[in-house]
Amino acid sequence: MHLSKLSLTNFRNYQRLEWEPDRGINILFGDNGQGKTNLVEAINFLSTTRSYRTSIEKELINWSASHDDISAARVEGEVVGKKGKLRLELALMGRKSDSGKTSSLVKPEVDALVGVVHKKILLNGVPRRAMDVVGKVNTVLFASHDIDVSSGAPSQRRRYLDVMESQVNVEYLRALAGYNRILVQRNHLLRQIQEGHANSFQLEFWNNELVEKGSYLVEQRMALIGNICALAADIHRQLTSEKENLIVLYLPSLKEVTADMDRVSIKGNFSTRLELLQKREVAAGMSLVGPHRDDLTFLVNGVDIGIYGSRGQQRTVALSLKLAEAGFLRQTVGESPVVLLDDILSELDSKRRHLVIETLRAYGQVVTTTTELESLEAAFVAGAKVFRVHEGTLTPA
Amino acid sequence: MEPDFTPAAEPVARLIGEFNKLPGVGPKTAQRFTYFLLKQPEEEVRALAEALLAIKDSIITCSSCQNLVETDPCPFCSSSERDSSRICVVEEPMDILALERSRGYKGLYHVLHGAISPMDGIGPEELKIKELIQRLQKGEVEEVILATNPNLEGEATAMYLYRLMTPFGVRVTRLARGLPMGGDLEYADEVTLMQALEGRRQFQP
Ligand SMILES: Nc1ncnc2c1ncn2[C@@H]1O[C@H](COP(=O)(O)OP(=O)(O)OP(=O)(O)O)[C@@H](O)[C@H]1O
Ligand SMILES: [Mg+2]
Ligand SMILES: [Zn+2]
Repeated sequence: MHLSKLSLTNFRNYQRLEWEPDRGINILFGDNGQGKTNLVEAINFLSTTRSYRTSIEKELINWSASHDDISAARVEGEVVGKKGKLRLELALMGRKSDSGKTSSLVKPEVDALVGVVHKKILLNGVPRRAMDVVGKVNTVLFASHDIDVSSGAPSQRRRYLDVMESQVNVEYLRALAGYNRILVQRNHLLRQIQEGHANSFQLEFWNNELVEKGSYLVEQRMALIGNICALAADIHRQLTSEKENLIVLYLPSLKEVTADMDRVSIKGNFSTRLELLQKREVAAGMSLVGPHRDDLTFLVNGVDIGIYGSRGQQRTVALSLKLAEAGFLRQTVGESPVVLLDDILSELDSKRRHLVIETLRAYGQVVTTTTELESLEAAFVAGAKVFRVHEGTLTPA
Repeated sequence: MEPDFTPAAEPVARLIGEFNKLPGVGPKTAQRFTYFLLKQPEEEVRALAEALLAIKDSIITCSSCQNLVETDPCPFCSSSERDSSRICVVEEPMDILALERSRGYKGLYHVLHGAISPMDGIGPEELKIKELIQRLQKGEVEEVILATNPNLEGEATAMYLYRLMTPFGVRVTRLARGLPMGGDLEYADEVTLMQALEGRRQFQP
């Protein structure tokens, strides 16, 4: 699929933008702070209905617009895929009093809600919930922070899995949202039990719910990792001229769970663990076991690359994982996702860059950013559409 | 100067502040309400003020079903036409209105005034559960219908009540699954509610 039109209104530093990206490779170039990442963020926002840079959506609304009485940022995209054309529109409405300045007329709790904005989503002009539009536009985003995926926090690796699976499986997204809510409720209850304000038999309900949703997540993650492991291994061999063998390994928080287990056995295992851990969970006042504590590890020629790998090796693993993600989406959805690369190409050596470009060419639409056009191969630039980004405007170059 | 920063006279600010406390009313709407009222004739404003006070003066809690009503016991609890062997347990008074609209139920009600939600600090103690148990202890009740909302918190509450009531030997039922999951009883349409009532089942933990 490809993005055929993008229009922005008061999104970040774009007051107004009408853009028709090329179906092939788009290079956004410009100095620091001009709006390259903002544009990548906008495209990804269409795909996930969330910003990957901030959870405070107020920040997405253009500053000058947020001085208006009711400010609004709007991201509209037209996507052409094998199922035809679709139009997706996301609007953020913020109130003036949320802008951070305190007015004496407003109670402080309301001002504390800075960043809480109202989000409206329209798919082909019809209002929808976020849940219903996630994955309508498939994207794979590769930004500089993704380079740390093997050495960074476990939450980053869980996010890698969750973002990928949610794009192709609404049930997963729903289960994940449900699981997170159960977790918050259960953690509060555990604390209340610890303080003697609640009775431990109240845990039964939350345990059942946690096991129900959690086992589904574990089962889906196992299948996903199986897929990704195969795809990433192939790509990694290519990127390293057959020198490195990459294995993506699932480290479930439910340690005894193995790939041959079905959901019923996972549930049984989860329930047993909860029973055994109950005293410790009450003492800790939080949930100690379950998919919220899952992790991944990446072995290169048998060695944990997150711990022992060189920066360059970690970077290549990150690249393999991202290309595997693109491959997974293409395989599952049946068409290529839109690939977004922010500040990535210039970070790679020329050989890897060349391989990445060759791989991506087969994919279709790519949006990539750079501060220096000269750092990219002339042949690559010649085969792409180049746009200059300057102070929130875009001009074909 | 921007209107939001114009210092308002103290009584105006106070009223805006009060409106702002209402559910779903933001600062902007609170201001709109206030300036609207300022322009109204005195009688109109007085009528509103009286109506506001009247709900506190004349609305009381029924000592049996805990519904917010004008008389204690309420018309449901004192009616000979209602089947006192059945109690339908709901989260909020609004839910009774919804169930009555469906015309499918002739028993009594019990209002919990909320649902179990640890993150909001609402446990069984915060709900009118003791009062429900007292009603069961009188021994007249044969069936308790759990009509809490079909969401996590409503289910948690239903489960808690089920465990608590088992020793009383009453039949505990739950509204049928016709209700949209994650929804609120208050917003369910009459036909759906009627079907949910008719199709109620033995509670299964
Ligand atoms: N809500 C907003 N309203 C107006 N401008 C904003 C808003 N949010 C961010 N900006 C501006 O956008 C600019 C950053 O844009 P962006 O992150 O896209 O830069 P970039 O072109 O990717 O730069 P770099 O090459 O450094 O990565 C900053 O100058 C910032 O001040
Ligand atoms: Mg940038
Ligand atoms: Zn009553």
